[in-house]
Amino acid sequence: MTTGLEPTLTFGSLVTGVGNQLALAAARAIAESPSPPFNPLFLFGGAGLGKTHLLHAIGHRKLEVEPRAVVRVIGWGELAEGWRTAVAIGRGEAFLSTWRDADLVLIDDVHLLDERPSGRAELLGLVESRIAQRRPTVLAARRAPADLFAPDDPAGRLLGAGLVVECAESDSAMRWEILHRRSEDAGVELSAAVLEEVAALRFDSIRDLVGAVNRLLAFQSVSPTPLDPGQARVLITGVIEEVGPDTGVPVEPAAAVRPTPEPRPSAAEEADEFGSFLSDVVASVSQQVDEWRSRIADALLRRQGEGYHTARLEALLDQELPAQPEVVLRRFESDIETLQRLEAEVRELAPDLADAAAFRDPDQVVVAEQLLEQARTRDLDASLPVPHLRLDALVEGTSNHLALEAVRAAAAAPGLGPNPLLIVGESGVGKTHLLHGLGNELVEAGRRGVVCLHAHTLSDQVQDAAGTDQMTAWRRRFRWASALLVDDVQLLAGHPVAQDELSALIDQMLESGRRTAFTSAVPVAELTGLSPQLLSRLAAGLVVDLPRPDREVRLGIVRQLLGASELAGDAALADYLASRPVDSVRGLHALAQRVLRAAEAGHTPLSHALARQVLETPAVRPPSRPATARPGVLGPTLGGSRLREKLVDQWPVVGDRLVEELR
Amino acid sequence: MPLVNFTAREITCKLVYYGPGRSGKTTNLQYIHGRVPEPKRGRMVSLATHGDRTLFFDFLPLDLGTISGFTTRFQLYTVPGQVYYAATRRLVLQGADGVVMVADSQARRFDENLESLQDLQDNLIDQGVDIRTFPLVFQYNKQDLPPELILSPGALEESLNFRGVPSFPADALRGTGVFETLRAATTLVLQRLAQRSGS
Repeated sequence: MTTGLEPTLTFGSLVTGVGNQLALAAARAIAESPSPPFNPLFLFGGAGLGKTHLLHAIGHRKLEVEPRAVVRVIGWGELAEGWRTAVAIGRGEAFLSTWRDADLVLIDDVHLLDERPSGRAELLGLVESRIAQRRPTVLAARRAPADLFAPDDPAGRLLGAGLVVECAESDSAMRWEILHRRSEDAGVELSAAVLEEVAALRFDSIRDLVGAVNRLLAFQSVSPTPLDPGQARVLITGVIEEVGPDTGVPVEPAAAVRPTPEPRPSAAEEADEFGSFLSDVVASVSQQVDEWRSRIADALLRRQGEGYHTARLEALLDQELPAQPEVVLRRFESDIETLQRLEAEVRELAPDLADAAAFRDPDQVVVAEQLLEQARTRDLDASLPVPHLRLDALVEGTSNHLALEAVRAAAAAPGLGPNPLLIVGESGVGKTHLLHGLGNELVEAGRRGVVCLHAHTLSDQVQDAAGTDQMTAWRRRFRWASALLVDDVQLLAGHPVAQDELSALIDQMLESGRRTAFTSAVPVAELTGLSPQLLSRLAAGLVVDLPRPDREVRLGIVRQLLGASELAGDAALADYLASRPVDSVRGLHALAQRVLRAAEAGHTPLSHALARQVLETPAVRPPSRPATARPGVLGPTLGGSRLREKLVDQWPVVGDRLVEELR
Repeated sequence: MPLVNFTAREITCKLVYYGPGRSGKTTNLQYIHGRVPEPKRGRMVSLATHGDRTLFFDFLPLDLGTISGFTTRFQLYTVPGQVYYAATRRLVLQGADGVVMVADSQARRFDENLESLQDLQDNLIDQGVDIRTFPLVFQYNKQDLPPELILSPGALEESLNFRGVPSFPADALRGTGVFETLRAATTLVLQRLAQRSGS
């Protein structure tokens, strides 16, 4: 992996000469050797003499030798800025470790060290640490360490501890080669005489030479005739030694801006005006268009310092001319902002999830969103409806049709219709089943955060939260609940705090169109012990009665219970059980179970007669023991258990005995 | 706004030469047209009256070729300077990436320069352009006339160029200062292009 290497700056594209021979050899050595004989390598030389080119070339070569190596290149100014940003957000150590652990680090513009003092000690410590770990580090600056730092400054000794090599000025052979390569790359032919003429000129830096070549190439590209050496010299130096015959070749006037109008230019100069203009535009466009590269590098550095994965930007920098870099950069920044927002919320809801790697990787926004969803509803999952209490397991009849229809409507469109839904009925008629059935319908429809609670649980939670000063956290749990279903709401009587909290919760749920539903064993008008606020909210939606099960429902339930047995089709048995006087579904279940277990225990076939025998023979209660026979509290001793077993054995009806044992 | 199409690798910029009637806007374009090699220039379109006054506008497309991988094109326009062509000026100015304000250096035309400059500012503001950051270059044309007839570049600078933008004395008829002006304008436009892309 690499960060910020300029693709074109390789050893292959580097022109060598006397001035940079030693630097080149050292650069190759540090790039190709797994344990270089010197560390750090310090390259110094004036601006534009190829130091940056060498740094990048070292990086490329390292990756050729070790494709999996981590190579990082940066300027000292950016490094200091990155450190400052990382410290500001509390990730200074992460920033340093990124650079400390890289296989090769290339730092340009080290002469800025004292101009950007931010993090001087830490960053020098970084270099020292890398040297101690024998990790190669290459530094480049305009001056040698001895000239950059005071004699007593340890920075000079540290940075100069390896090999210090100068990148000297180019010679004419180097310049000729540079000219030749540039003209070939541009597809514009310059004669050998022109190349020699220009190569003989002295340039302060290779950068100046490249600028001169660009100008020559631009002029030649618009000129119908080949440049001659004299014209080339004039173009570069701006000194017109003699004006030859008009060849149609553009010639650049030396001054760019005239303070006052000058005499009309010569014909050659006139023809050259557009070439000069074009040359400037070329330079300007190149500079401005390439601006994106530095912007991306800045963003990459900053986000890396903050600990984010920047592979997307690294890939962008590796391209020579990427498509729509601004769009990629904007999207990257937008993803980072999204991650920050998600992380902040998760940190508030579930701090243990906030350190997940996904929050540092802009390519994992979807995973981060899932984590947030998990954080929002995790606490609520403990209150999910009981899975087996489903609506389709309910037997429908005239008595419960209305209540079932109301529940189905609420499940189909939870945010619509009367809200809350209050189901009122005696104990054991199926209210809880209906409530959980509604909850299961919502869960199956893909809704997260369906909360199904018993009133006792609700009041216990409120009491615990109030006692531990966690009311805010308790309330926050319900922020992401999609439905609130509370069973036996009448049991909140005597719990004023829980009632207040529930009232507020109902308001929140209703305001955001979320479903609420309740059950009560007591009609609204007879509810006592509940605050007027809560009562008014409960009664404000739809109140449906769930009466005792009628014969149709009871018959259905009996058939359901006997469904698995071979006598399911025994109409007489089913009719008999359904006709037994019971107040509730729960009571009917108990009857059927008694008969089934009696048959099983006595190895007797299940029949109408057996059912009658089991249900109509009066049960004989065991004689109650005198109080003196049970002194104190029975402990869990073997004798105690035996005593209890003897008592049960005295029961005359086997079925009753089994039920009791089961209990 | 300069059109930078990274997918098609194209940069297209629109430069408008503004100024009072007879200040030399068309002359600037004619001079540029005459110096641009044939393959790089399009046909110069000039709609003029019998009296050689610009009736609608001049248009000179320049195809500068591929620069840094981008096909780069400049479109140079002039506006009709006469006061009564205000609507046409607004139309031509629409979508401009930069303006060259061609002022007539003759002392007797000073008020017309001011009037045209005011007109330019009004039109830019109407189009929602922030004139403080908009690329603008002054050209003080006709500096070749006898000194007693003209104002010096310094005097014009003081009176017109209160924003301190780049300015160039010129003799568009002979080409002096023409390319310098164009170069400065294009540089400003391209700089702004980079700033906008970065924002």
